[in-house]
Amino acid sequence: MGLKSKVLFILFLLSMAIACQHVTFKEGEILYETHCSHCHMPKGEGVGDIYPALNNLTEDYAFEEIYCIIRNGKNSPDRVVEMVAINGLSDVQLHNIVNYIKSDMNGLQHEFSANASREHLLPCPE
Amino acid sequence: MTKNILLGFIIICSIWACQEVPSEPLPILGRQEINGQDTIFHHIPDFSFTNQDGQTVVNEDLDNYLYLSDFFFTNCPSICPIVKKQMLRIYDKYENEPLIKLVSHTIDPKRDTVEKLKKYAEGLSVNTDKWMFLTGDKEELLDIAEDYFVAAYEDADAPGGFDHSGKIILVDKKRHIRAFAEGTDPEDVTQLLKDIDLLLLEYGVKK
Repeated sequence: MGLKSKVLFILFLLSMAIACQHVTFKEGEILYETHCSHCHMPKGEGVGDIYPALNNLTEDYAFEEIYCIIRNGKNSPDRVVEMVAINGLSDVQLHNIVNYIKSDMNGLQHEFSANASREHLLPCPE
Repeated sequence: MTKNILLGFIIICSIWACQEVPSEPLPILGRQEINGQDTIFHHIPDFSFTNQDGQTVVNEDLDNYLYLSDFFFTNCPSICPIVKKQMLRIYDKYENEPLIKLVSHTIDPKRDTVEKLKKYAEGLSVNTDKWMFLTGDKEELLDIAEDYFVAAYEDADAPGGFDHSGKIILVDKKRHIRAFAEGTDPEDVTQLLKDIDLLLLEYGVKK
């Protein structure tokens, strides 16, 4: 292999490495760090069953379900720690967090663009 | 010529790598009082708390152990989860080392009942012989936090109603504090793990 092709090869590897770190939903990532990572941990690994992991979601975990948990919180008698509702987020911001969790953290398809539903909040069970 | 320099370099590196730096024993931390000829070191005062099974725990129960202590409350939305993650790291490393115990104190005994602590321990899937969760009189808990170098007080403006620091404290068999780490800083806890090994060595356990 000539020097030129070696350099090219290294450049290729570097660009791959950079490409792999790319975050699609940057605002979602920033909001995740502010509102979620304290309990669910920076990479979504969670702590035991108390603060559930978010980095092992499957495709059947509906977008709306995550969206509504963030908006309304989650509590049930068998849970040790209640998840409080995250207040003060716009619909677009909520979408960006869910898209970040689904797409960037889990490599799943993100389902809605924020613009598509900017008109109204998704219905959540109260 | 270049070869010789390289060879010399390798030799120096090898000598350096082989040298085992003898470590000083961990210091006894905290304020000391001089009483005549005697120096009284800071130590954990007498306590009596209740564990996750409703049993009373006093100092003597920990006399034969080196233990890691932290303060938390289950409703804590800020630093507690990350500190617990680091306590879990310590638990995992010393799960099979009988000399080590972990002791987590709640500072919100009103909410954190015995049942709640039991559930919390189950949620972490830990053996409560090894890692106990204590509750008790609120004032007594907040007071002893200070003896463990942890600032803890009620503050209606703080997230969850309490303000406290996330220190993890290493206590020896004589109730002396020998090392601590900020439980929110994983690198600091990495250093604490080395300190724990050093203290174990003092008690004849080589890791």
